[in-house]
Amino acid sequence: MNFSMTENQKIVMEVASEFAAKELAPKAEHIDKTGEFDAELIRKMTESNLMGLLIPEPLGGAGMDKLCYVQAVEELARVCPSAGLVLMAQSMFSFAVLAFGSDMLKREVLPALSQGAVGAMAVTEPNASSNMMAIQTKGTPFNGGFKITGNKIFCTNSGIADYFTVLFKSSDQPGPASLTLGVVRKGTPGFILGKREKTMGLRGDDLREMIFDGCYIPAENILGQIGNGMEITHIAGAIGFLGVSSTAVGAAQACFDLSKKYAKERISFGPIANQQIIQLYISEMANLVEISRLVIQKAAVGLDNGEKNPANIWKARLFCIESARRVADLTSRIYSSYGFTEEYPVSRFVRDIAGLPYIYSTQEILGTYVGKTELGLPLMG
Amino acid sequence: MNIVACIKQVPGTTEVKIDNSTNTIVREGVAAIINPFDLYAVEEAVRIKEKTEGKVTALSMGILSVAELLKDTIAVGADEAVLLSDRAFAGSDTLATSYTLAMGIRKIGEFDLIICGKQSADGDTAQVGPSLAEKLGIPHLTMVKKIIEISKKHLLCERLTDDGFEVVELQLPAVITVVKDINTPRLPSIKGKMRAKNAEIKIWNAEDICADKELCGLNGSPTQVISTFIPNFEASTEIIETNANEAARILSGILTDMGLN
Repeated sequence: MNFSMTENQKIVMEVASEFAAKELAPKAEHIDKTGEFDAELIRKMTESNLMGLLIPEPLGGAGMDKLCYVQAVEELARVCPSAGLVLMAQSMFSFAVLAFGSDMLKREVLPALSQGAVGAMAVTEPNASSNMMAIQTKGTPFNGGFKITGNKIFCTNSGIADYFTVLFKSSDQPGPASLTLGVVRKGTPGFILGKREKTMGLRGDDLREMIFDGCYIPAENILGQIGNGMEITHIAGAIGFLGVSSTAVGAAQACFDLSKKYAKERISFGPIANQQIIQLYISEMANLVEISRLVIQKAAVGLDNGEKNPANIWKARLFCIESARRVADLTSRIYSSYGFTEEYPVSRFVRDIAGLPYIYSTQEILGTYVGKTELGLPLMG
Repeated sequence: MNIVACIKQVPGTTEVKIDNSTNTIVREGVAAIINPFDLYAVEEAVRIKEKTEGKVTALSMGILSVAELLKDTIAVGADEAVLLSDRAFAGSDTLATSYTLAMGIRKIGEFDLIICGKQSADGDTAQVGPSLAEKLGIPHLTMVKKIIEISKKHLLCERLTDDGFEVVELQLPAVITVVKDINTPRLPSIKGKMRAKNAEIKIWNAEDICADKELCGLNGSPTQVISTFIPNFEASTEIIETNANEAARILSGILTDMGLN
């Protein structure tokens, strides 16, 4: 087992790290205060080839693997967790189109994503989140495709995206076969963006209500086959889980670094770094961050090697999120009252970590999936 | 358009050590970076290439390790890079440097524009750009802050002055030196770094560029560094403790005695 980085992986890490330090860091606080993840940042992420990371080179992308992807997300998230999510949603969307899109769709969308267009995957509805079967956005057959009506919420990148995948009910068949995934372009008649969500953290993630009223999805924009929607969403969701987990690792690393710095500066009965309890907190954080990183890298390598069983990715996501929550808690204890103010940057990382457990699945639902898998029980029913 | 961007390796630190035997900066063991002003030169060269098509060649003179630094120019869009490296080039002052660079550029071949950074962070002379132009027998313009128009034979640009700027028209080929106002250097992209990783940096010695060794290095340097030191500033302080009017009168007298009033 070789834990050394390849040249490609080193290059991706260098580019992501330099971008985070020079472009993101000066704007991170402003992004948190205003929610503005401006077009200039997207342009520069595109120029650095981060936004086309998983897209093959012939289609304009960087052609990198999932291990490079998780490293890049982590580097961005160390400075601005919202940026990690922007890259995650872009990569998940591009993966879905690459794996399941028609040739015509791939030729249009993937080069566009490599050159500045942004993608998003819309699944969640007001009454359907972990339970995809409760989705109410309905598609009516029309001219070889579908006209869809319904609404979506909590879709990362929705406020800035040019292309969206939308999961909808394509028939009244029972079970997953009723769900289909299609691609909608921004500006398509019958598709409007609604209000933006105000959130406690991850404020650079522009979450909008999406309203569909007879919005047409042509046949060539259907991903995979009609009725494959849930399966494709789960497969692409692996990229999403890797991204959320890496964002958690990056945010946890930031908390850890800031905590070490503060522990050496803060004087209370002498430098608090000299107190054993603080040393134990730091030790626990060091372990959690390191192990989280290893477990997510293992999951990414497994996906690169063609592993079909998603259990490693679920387990990685469970561990990384819980670890980040614990690191955030320990950080708050080390910073005490100052961690509750906006005087130090640590409070925004703590708030951002609080929002991560709910993206694409709850920890509880995922936990039951892992438990059922281990026990040989069916996931559904 | 064919553009040559000249870069120099400088110490990546403000804590500079001096070799007392040669009175030059100790570069071994010190992390090296591209001279910050030269980053703007490379960026502007790449931007011109992107608008007009053509080629950007990054050129440097230095020790062999500079080849790795030159790869950074490929990573941000230069098409190729050349390093002039030879023991004979060591200890060059700005005249010998500009002679060597001129010989290197002659070997590169046809060019339309040469871009240099305003000055180097270690030498600070700002002489190489103009001197290079003289060696090549072409016009030059320093302190360029904006290129307004460019074609194969003609350049219209803004030049920074003490009072603001002036608009200057220049015939090409020419040398320009650029200031930081001209652009914001891009960060290397993933594809750029991949290109750089595989790039072969041409390394030419004195013989390759047909340079007269008597005109290179210490041999070709009419200026010699006699002494390099960090100046000590000593200040004496006198505090005038009285009311404001009286203090002003006393201070005025002191300044008059010093010939400053």
